[in-house]
Amino acid sequence: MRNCEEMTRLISESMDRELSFMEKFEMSMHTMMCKGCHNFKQNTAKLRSITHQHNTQTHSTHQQPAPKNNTPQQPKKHTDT
Amino acid sequence: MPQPPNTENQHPHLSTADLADIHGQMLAFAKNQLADTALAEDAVQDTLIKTITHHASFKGKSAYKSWVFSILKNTIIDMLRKQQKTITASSMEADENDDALFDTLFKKNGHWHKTQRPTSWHTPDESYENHEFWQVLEVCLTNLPAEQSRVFMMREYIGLETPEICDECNISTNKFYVLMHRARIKLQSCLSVNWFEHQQQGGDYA
Repeated sequence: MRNCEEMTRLISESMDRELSFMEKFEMSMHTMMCKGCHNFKQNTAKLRSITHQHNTQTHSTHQQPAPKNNTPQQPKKHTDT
Repeated sequence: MPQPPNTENQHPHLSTADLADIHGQMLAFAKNQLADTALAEDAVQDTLIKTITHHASFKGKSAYKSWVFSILKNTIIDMLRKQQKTITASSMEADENDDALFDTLFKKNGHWHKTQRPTSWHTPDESYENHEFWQVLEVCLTNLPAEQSRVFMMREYIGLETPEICDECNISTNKFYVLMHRARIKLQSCLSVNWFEHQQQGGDYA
């Protein structure tokens, strides 16, 4: 049985390789009972999506280098209501 | 006649101090990623040359910064690919610092210290649009030892697969797992302290 430190290593590896059936089983048993490792697992996945989002976000800024104020201006009509 | 690039402030919306600030951060980031001052200076220089024709179109400091950083990152990635440079100098020292961090997180029996147990990150999607969040993330990344931030960026930012990274960096698969584990532990700890807990304490503005 892995302790928490060893479990965080397995959780980290699960992001980079396919775990064996037994490893998956042990991971789910452990994270079911241990709040710390459960949160670590969730945060690890969030960290990936955050980093990915950071990449696409900065990349999309790169694609559109000129955030000019060229949104078509709505002609302002005088509507009295 | 085309103007040669020079160091004068040609940016209509940003002050010279802003530009100097951004350039300082770029250099720090590049040094961390490349572990080589001369190469880092080249990377920043290349990036500034690439951006010089468009940079005046950015109105805000944050928009300009995220744009130049995205180009800087691509420049660094290209350099790393060409170099296939292994960073070993700082890795002994990094290992010792990591041991100290692990000792604060885990008890002798390997279980979490009660106060250090990870908490769940409450992240409404909008917080990712918050510029300050990205700054915190960048700082946390910059604080990682060079070898760790390099493999982390290759894996999570560029999205390379494990065998490709091990090949590029000339490290074993096991070493890769160790580096990723340490990087994830440290980034989570850094983001928790500097962003998520901070948000919970001060974020009572709803």
